[in-house]
Amino acid sequence: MITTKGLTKRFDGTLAVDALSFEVREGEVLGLLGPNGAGKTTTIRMLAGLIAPSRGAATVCGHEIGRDGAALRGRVGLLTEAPGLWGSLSAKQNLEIYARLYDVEKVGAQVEKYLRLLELWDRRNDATGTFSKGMKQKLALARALVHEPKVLFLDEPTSGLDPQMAKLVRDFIETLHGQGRTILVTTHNLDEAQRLCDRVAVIRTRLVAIDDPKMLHARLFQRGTLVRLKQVEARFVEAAGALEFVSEVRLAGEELHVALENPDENNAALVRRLVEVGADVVYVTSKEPSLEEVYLKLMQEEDEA
Amino acid sequence: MSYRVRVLVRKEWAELIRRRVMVVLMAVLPAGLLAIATAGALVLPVLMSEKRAQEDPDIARAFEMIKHQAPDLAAMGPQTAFGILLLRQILLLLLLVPIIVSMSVAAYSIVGEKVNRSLEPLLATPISTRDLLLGKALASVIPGVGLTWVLFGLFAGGIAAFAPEGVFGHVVNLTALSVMFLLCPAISLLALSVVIITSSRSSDPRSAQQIGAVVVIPIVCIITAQMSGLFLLTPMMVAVGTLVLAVLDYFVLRAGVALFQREVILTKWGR
Repeated sequence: MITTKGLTKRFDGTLAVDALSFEVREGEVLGLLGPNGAGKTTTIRMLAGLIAPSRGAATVCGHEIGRDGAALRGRVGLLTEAPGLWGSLSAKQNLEIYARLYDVEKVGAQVEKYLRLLELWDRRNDATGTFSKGMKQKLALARALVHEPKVLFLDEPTSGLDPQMAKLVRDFIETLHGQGRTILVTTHNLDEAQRLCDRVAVIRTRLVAIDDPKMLHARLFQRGTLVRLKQVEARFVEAAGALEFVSEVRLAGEELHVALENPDENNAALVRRLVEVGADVVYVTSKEPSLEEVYLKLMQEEDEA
Repeated sequence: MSYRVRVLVRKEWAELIRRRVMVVLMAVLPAGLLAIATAGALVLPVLMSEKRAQEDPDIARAFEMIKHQAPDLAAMGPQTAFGILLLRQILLLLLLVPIIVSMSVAAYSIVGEKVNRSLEPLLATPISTRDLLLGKALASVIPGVGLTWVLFGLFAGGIAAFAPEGVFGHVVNLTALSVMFLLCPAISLLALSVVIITSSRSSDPRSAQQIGAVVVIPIVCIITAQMSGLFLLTPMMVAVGTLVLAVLDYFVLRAGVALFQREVILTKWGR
């Protein structure tokens, strides 16, 4: 649905995006992660047909960016970083104008559908300048969807929202994912990215890595096992570390964090050895991969490079 | 006019209507000033005594100057001639209305969007830059020119109803009509173009309006020149002035359009 090849953008000699190549498959949610100034918003603006690339190419919904801007913009939806609503106009007026600009056929029905879906119908005639940040963000999301685009670009959709509103927006994005829409979302919230995205792309001007969060974790870290002990002694750490399939043992409180090859096969041997040396095992669990760990490791590697 | 331009114009006007104070000030203030000035121009000559008008050497000298500049007024008495001259100045003052209104509407319409960060979602729609600019321009120029024409209609109606016989034809003449229907839209467009250019550098609507106010200077110069007897506007002068303004409009508007690029708006206007 989205393909980029060597997508590059320069602003007055400053390289904002460097040779970005990736694909987003139909119905997939791809998270675009990276520090401030990494080129996430610039990438989205290029793909949404707002600005032209300096070099490289990309196609979105079959439209080549920089060629047929109006047709491309008509097929995609964009949630901008700031809601950017017309504050003196009502929620209904805001949506109706956008529906008309997008050539929506049944304007009234579409506007009602999204105002109801996002629980704004009761406030439809109120000026949006009186809305809370969360309500503005919901209306901006409705605006991005009013023409039923197949591809959605969401630039930091939950930024600055309270946890309850952020969850509501996240749930709505999951609903859109369930409808088979292709979504490219930028976020600084790694927990959110892990929950929402099928794959994540980490960028820092150029593409650092792209994959499923679990695969990225596996690529960067060995799989791990967490062993909770009743009481920790140095000999338990030594015994576990001496096993040939264990690469690292770290102690955190009453827990042993063990990095090992093929945990599915070797966990039993690990537990056996710990019991042999007198450890009382409370429980054993696999260590869940954290996207934050992956992201920080990738950024650290980039800094070192 | 394309469908999207119409949608944008309606949106701009819907926003304008919500800014009630601005609309009231825009309409009521010029109307009030026009009414007072017209009443003054009609009443003052009547208050001037016939005897004084004939004996005062200053009035006699001024009347000689009027007769020289406007031979069509020579056959009239000094009272009527002065009245007509004052009414002609008021007509020129009316040209300030489209400048002020167009600039106010455009400044809020363009810089206001920049401040509210509402341009990016608008630019993300299939609307072309040309249609976007045309919509903004029409939404600004039409109220300014429209209000001026309404005020001109009231002004002409007031003269027809209250001025002495023969005055109407000397005020609402070909010069007045060409000022209203040629010079007025041209000067309104110039004010708008200046605002578009200043918008790219301004961060709030008021500063864009203030910088754009330079357009008022030529009008003030013409009024001063007429009052000091340097010249009186003729239809030919208005036609030449309109032509010069049209050329100026073309180049200033082109410069404005060149500055009004999606990429520039998105990447530089927000700074």
